[in-house]
Amino acid sequence: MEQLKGFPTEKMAKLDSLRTTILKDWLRLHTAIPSTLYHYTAAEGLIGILTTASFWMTNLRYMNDLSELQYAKDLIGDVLDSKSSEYASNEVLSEFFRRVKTTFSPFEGGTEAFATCFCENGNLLSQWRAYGGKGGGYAVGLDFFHLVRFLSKACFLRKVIYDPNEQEQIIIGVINKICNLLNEMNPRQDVKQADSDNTLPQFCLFLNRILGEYIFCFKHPEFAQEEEWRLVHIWDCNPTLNRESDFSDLKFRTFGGNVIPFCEVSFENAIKASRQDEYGLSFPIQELVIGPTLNPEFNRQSVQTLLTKINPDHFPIIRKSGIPLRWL
Amino acid sequence: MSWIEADRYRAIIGGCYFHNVPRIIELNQRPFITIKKNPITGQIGVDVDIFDANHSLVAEIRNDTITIGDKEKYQLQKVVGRLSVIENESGKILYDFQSLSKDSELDFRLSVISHIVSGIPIFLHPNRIRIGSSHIVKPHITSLKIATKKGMEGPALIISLAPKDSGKQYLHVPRAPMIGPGGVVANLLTAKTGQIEPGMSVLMMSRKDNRASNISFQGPCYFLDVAFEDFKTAIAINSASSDNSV
Repeated sequence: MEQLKGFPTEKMAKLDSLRTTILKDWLRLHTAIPSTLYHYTAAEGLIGILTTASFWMTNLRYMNDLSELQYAKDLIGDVLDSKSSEYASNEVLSEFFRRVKTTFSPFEGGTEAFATCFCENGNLLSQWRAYGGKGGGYAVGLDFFHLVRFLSKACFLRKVIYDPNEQEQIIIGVINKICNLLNEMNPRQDVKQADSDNTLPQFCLFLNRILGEYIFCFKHPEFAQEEEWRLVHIWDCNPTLNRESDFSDLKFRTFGGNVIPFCEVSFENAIKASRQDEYGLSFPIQELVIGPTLNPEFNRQSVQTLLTKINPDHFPIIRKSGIPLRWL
Repeated sequence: MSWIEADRYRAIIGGCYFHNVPRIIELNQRPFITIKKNPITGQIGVDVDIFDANHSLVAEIRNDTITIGDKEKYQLQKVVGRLSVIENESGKILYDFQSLSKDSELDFRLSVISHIVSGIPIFLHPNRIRIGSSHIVKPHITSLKIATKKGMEGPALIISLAPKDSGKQYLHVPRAPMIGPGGVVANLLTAKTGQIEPGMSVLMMSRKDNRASNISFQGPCYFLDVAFEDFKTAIAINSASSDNSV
């Protein structure tokens, strides 16, 4: 994270150390990556993914369900309100919360987050319903444990958290840690002093950055059965702030009449490495599930041919959903 | 409590299916890759030494413990249920053990890349098995189940290797038949005698059970989607060039 002008280096070192602690606790929630994660798509999407060896990562601001982001924003706002009341008698913290609440804007921090969604379960009725009406559904199963290192863009995987108590405890835990350090740096609770060396703005920026990641990892408990993971790429230059941003990777598609920004992440390198014995890397597509609205036998052969065309050294696992779902 | 050889499990090893086969590879009658089990907890582990092409020790793996030889060159990547050895410079994955959840049809997946003393590579790649040359284009055996009765003596495959192999193909069995009623394997191997080159011989096949075993190869081998069931040893390598050490 950038150091604001005037913010003392020794204080920055303490903030960096806190960041490491918070990040360590946070990453612990995301290390148990399932052996296979499934990306649901329609037939057109499947052909696109397999023939171009890439996924489309949508800018998180424009994900299908904007209420997902609003849910996390509201939750963070509620916790900030509650902590603000708790620390009302502390001048510096009170001012800190006032500013954070006013300025908290996870999408205006100079970065743009792009993501592709995956589910732990490769045979989910809700997903088949979503894709069945668009020409049949397929679930592409991938093992990301090693694959993530071979992607064309720097990406990381985040597990979506659905339990409201867990979400709240995570936010509260982080805020408490930040408040403790802010108190430690300002024992006299002097707002002017905390502003004189940019301590307050630096802490606001710090919290904003940390909460920004929670925005795309917290979802409403109603979605819990999706058991979603997100493959995330952070584009660290906001075109509105930085006119020298490299736009070459930025693409646009339409959805329901809207213009949606996205970028592509390629797993071509992983396919190449998987064909060389000495790399020890598996072919990225571990499994393919054919949705219930399709004729499985009809599609099994064509999909198998498509996979064999990409990598003849791999015997693909193709299975059918088995869920009795019909569209009338 | 010492770990014992695991004789009851289901796994994907080198992209092939293994069912109740404790010894994956023997080298000159000595175990080279063995699946182990903690008799009390039931935890599965592996015994194998990983060597690079110059026969320097990369990692010693005993049960569930990995000792890295040169930590500057190799790293251990470890999360719950997964253990990997990775070459830092190239990102090559030389060992990857992955326990699978209890509701999975499999207990674990394993891949290992190692070399024997004469530099001959052993690729238990996540998608295929190659013993010897890495220059073979087509697999020798695809989609074949090799099985025997429990306790039957002898390995599923016997491979004789010389230090310099040509990578020549001895037999190509196209993707097709799993073993089924009517002795498909017997038909497959005998009906396509034209593809059986000198140096490859089928020592024994059990027509009675529609199963094949003790298949002998002279030279490097490449297997794709092969199932090994109920053998004590899956692949026995006789390396004429080396002594009994690995």
